[in-house]
Formats: sequence, structure tokens, C-alpha cells
Amino acid sequence: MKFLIVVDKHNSIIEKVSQLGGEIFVASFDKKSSTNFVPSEKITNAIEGCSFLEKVCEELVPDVIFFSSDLILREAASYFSGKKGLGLIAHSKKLRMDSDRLIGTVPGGNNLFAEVLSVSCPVLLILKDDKVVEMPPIKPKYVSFKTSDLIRRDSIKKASANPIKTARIVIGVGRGVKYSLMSEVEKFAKSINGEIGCTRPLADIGMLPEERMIGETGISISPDIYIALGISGALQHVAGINAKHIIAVNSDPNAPIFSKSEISINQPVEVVLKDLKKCLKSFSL
Amino acid sequence: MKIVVTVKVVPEEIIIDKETGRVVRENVKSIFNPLDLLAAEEGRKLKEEFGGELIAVSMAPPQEGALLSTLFKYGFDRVILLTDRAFAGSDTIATAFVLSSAIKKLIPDYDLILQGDYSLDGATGQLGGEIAALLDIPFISQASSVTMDESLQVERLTEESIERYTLKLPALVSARRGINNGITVNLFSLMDERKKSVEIYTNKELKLPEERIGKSGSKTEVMNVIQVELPFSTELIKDNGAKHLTDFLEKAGVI
Repeated sequence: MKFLIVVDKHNSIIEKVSQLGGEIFVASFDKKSSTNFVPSEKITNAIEGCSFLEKVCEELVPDVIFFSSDLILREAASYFSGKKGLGLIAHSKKLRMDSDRLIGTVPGGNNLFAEVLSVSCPVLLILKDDKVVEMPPIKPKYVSFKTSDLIRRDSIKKASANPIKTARIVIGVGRGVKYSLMSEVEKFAKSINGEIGCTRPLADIGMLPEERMIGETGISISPDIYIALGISGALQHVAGINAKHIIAVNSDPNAPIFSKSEISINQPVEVVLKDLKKCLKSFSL
Repeated sequence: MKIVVTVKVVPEEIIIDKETGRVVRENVKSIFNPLDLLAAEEGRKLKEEFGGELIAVSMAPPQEGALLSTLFKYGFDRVILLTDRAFAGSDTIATAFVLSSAIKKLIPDYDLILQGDYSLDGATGQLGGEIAALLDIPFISQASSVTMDESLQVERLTEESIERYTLKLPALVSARRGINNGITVNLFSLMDERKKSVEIYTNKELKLPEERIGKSGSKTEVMNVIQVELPFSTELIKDNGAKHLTDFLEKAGVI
């Protein structure tokens, strides 16, 4: 089986793919890379990425194309899938072969996962970030493609670093935290030098910005202490947390988050916040 | 300017029938995919500035017509429901085919297609790229601002960068969270819900080939749905949780 891995720039492959036992080729969107296939010019949009891939596929004829989870790769994957009418398996963390068929496990929310396979060839699959293996540099083959004048990138600026990624303490808020409580949560966070993160439903309704969303479709964090307020603990959220200590506050005694927490407080969030004001000096100010 | 917003109707809560592995739709409230409503607000603002038409297109079961008709009060001029048994079971590529073909057929002079980055239930985030490819138009996702001068100006935020793009129309843009604060009811359009009606198109009118739509047009298959049940701990602190929490923080040297 021929596997084509498409990456943005790094010459690395996901460890799980290397374990599937196929012949691996790597294509990069950056012309400075040392991968099997590189474009003759830098690719900055999905149309060009798609046209580059069409050219690579003419040469290689892969059985499976894996896309790394970089945004431009995800866009190019969907554009390519639309152009070719091919099935595309969304962000998969787990992969397995089932008698020559590749199956990806896709998160679906509420502790649900779907095992998905594609019935068209080549199989297209977007990988969810995972452990990578560095590849030795390869003398690349330059592939020319059709550039597009329909879309142009005018500027790219580095965004400021996300404070939640480096914070020692993160306070996560979930559906159990009412909007009216948010200012209290903010004060509490400030008093212990913590950053606030949230679950997907909260980001979806705009209570907190997307860059604060923790979980499989959001960001991953590794603080010393994670304080989960009103978070039930869906696997998709928990997947983004790699904390030394987890403290959970939830009024539902059956909240799955309690299976992960070192300290499990089964009280309403508002009650705990109110009590905290009494025992935490810096918070009551 | 003719602005199309694709709107998905999603169940408010995802409950899975453990026997069949399917999403339960009975007795579950239907809502609009929240990010699609943010896209609608961008469309409404563009229409306000440049004039034109705001058109919603949704592929959904016929009973969702009632919910879709509420879109009029947000200022939509037309609401189009694409519904047919033959569309049932469509995966993203089959859905993209239905939506793109319908747009081509029913609104051939569209300028812009807007939608949310992904849906609450499926969350694949693939639909936009696939529709754009099928229509041969440029596409950008995770838009944080959409403005117009001679061409379309889109700013987008990624985890690492802020990028600005210029797109030629027609184009497809998907909106990220936080692009705006959502759409609100337009007082002038309040009566429209009763005056205007949802346009319904089935495959009798659209005449899409069977092999491209529904289950037979789908290129991905869901083999299993796995629901993972987590065990829960039994040592729950029932009162004075705040005290336990501060004791812990104190011991950890945080306070």
C-alpha cells in the first residue's frame, strides 16, 4: 500500500501512520522542505494546495492520503475531496487496518466516537495531532502546479501567545456555570493567578473565545492544577487536559469528571464560589 | 449583492440510541447550528451596507420547515428548504453536492456563500471546502472579519497567526466563533415570518442523480458508534468544598 502524508512544512510523520505498515511518501506545502514532493512555489490557499495534490497523485497514485491537522492542510483536504468527489475521514486520533481497509476513529461529542471508513480511493483522512517521528531529509522532487488568482494572501502576522497554554493553574468552565457567574469566576482566577478555559458548548454560544476552548477540537493544556467548574467531563474535553492535579466542582454526583479528579466537590458552582470568598482572602477583595 | 447562508438544523442535545447507534431525533429540540447564525449576521451586515438579498439554504427533513421560517425575522429575504427522502443518509460529500447543485440551480447569480466553520453535531468542518470545490470558487475558513471593497477582504485567526486575504467573488467564507455576537431579531422583519413562506424543493425539481446523493452518494461509512461510559468516583465532597479547595491550593503553594 502506498501512503502519502501531506504536511505544511515539517518533515515528520505521525507515529501511528508509520505503524500501519505501508510504503510512506511525504509531500509538503513549503518549497523549502526536504520531503519526497515539494511545490515549485509556496502554497498559501486551498485551491493551490488542491492543484498541487492533483499533480502529486498523477505521479504517485497513493492508496491513502493522510493530511496533517494544520489549517491550510485541512482546507486543501476538503477542497480536494470536493474536486474529486472523494470521501474524507475527519480528524482521527486512532487508526486501524481492517483487512486492507483503513478505519479512523472520529470524535462525535458527548463521549461518542464513530469508526469511519471511506469507500472511495484514494482514502482521504485528516490526522489529529499526535506523536511524530522525524524523517531524514530527502532530495525532493519539485512539482509545478497551477497558481490561482481567485484568492490572495495579503499579510500574515504572528498572533500573541495564548496565555492558557503556559498557565500553571487553569480554571475550566462548563455548562454548569451560568453567565451571571462569569465575573466571579474571573475574580477567582485572578486571585490565584489562573487562566480561564472552557468547554465547547460555552465557546459555541460565545461565552468565551475559541482560543480558550480546551479539548479535542480546541487546544491542549498541561497546567499543574486544573479546576473544572460545572464541567461534566465529556471525553472530548478531557482529551485536551494533561494536568498534574484535577479538582472538579459539579452539582451532578454522576458527572464523569469525578472519575478524573483528585478532589471531587459535589456542590453547585455558585455555592462553592460564594464560600471561597470567605476562605480566600485575595478573592474576597 | 446576493448572499447565501447555508444553515444546518441540529439537535440541541446529542443522544445516541445504543441499540441502533443512531442519533435520536424524536423528542429532541431542533436548533440552528450556532456558528451558522454568526455567519448569517455577517451576511446581514453586508446586505445592510451594500444592499441585495440574503438567502438561507438548508437541507433538512420537511418538519424543520417551521423552525426555518423563523429565519425571516432575522432579515432573510428568502428561505429555501431542500428536502427529499433521497437526501437522507448523506455524508459531507453528498451533502456538499446537494447544496452546491441547489445553489447553482436556484441562485445562479449568487455572490457570496457564508456558513459556520462547523456544525454542532458533525463537527467535521469539511463542508465549506467541498462546496467551494464543487462550485469552483475560492474559499477561506476561520474568518474573524468579512468586509467588502472592490473585492472581498477576509481576516482570519489561527492558533499562531492573523492572516488577511483578498478573494474574488463569488466566494465561500466560513465563520469562526467570536466573529460577532450573534444575530438578533430585526424589528422590520418581525411580520415577515407570517407573510413570507419557506420555499421547498425536492429532488423532483432539482433532478440530482441518485448516485451522487443520500446513502448511495456518500463516500464514507460509519461502521460503529462507540459511547464510552466513564466510571465515577465515590468519594464526593458534599459540603464545604471551598475549604477543601483552598487547603489544596495552600498545600500546593499557590496561595
